[in-house]
Amino acid sequence: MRDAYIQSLNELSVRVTKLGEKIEGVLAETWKALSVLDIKKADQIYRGDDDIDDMVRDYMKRDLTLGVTQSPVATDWRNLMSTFKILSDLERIADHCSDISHYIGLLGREPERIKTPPELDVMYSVMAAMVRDSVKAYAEGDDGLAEQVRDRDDIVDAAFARIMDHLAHAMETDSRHVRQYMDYILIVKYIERMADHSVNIANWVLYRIRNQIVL
Amino acid sequence: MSEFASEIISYTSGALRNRVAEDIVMEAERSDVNTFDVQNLDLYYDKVQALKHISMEIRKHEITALIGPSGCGKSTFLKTLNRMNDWVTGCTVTGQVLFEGRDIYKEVDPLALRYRVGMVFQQPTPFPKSVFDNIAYGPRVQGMTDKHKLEEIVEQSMRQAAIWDELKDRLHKSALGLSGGQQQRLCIARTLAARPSVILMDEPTSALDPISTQKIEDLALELKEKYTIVIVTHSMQQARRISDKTAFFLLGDLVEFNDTVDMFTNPSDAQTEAYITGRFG
Repeated sequence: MRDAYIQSLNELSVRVTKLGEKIEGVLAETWKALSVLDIKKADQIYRGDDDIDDMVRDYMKRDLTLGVTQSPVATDWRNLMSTFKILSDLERIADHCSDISHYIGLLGREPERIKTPPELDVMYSVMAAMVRDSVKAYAEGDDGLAEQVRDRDDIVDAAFARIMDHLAHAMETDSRHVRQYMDYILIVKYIERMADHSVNIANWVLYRIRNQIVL
Repeated sequence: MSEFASEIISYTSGALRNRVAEDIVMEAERSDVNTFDVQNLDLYYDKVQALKHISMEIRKHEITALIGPSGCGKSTFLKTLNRMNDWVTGCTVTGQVLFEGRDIYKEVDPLALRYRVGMVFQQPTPFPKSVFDNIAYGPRVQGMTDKHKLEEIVEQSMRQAAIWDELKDRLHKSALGLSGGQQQRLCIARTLAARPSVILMDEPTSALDPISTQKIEDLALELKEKYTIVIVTHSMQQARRISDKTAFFLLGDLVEFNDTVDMFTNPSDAQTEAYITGRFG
């Protein structure tokens, strides 16, 4: 029995799950800041990203060390490979929270604020649920839940298209606030990318469980 | 008849010549058949069953690795492939082992079989003779006396075993003075000189340092272009590095036989998974 090795593998999975849950919390805080353009909260989120980067770096190092020292195969190999990829996606999701916070800061400082685009709340909540469920699918080895996450990406993509149409039209009719509409375009794009990263996480969960590379 | 078959026949003689020649011609004519087709093989040491209903195809020009914990039957299985278990008192075998389509226990002469199915052991086993005489031993026993032909075979075998450059100036020195890695490659060259089509390797690197191990592994990968190789190994990294197929044995059962990449990424049996990930054994 390779008790220490197996314990290290399990510990890494627990740590990555906790990191995922931490990022779920950051997502919730980011929405609170975005919905009311709370500059102070956005600044806290922006500065908090370094902690997440440190955790990602630490867990990637642990993952690589296990790979180098233990020559993992089969489920263990897929576990370490998928965990490494998932860490990368989690890090990007956290980065996008930070990116959105930057634009919250810009929007919040505008003297004459435009209305939040319609459906932004729906798009954001679907995306946040996808991230939550992809982390849950990883923690619980639930390939059915991972499939559901993949399916929900269509909802986000459809909302993205509609919001972009709305913003394009608004820019044509309200040229005074073009800068703010552009900020929202970037925010909406970040949300769409975060959903894509949750799909990536779901895909790596499927690889870990089924040995199928899904793209 | 192939050039190779003609060459062998040219330096063998008498009854042995006929047996060897017959097998070689058969091999030349049946290039599409598997090297081995093992069907429902059972092997007993007296009343103890060491192999249970083993069925397996070993394809030409592939490296097949046999893995499993000590006492699982992998070396016993290897030795059934050239009937080395014939010498074990109380050993009985049932089922079929077809070598290039013919039943080795009914249709093939054991001596001729062992020329065609050579073996390399865990510990290098050089004879207390010169390097040259070690390698020329097989062809001489097969009846070859032509000095130039022998020299040609020795050089060719040593080149194939990646040992010519190191030992070409020491051909007439004792083989016992070589390093362990050199001795093992000498033994491989000696096996090749007998012109086999299969090389069985029973933990050929377990007594060697990492550099010598790497040389033997590289050699195995080169040799599979011309030979079929079956290797018993306790190193799963070695099985992963060099084999095309891997067979996992446990308590005399063949638990799983699969493409090596598949076995080490997604084994189909839970016992295989537990063994290769180190959860038992």
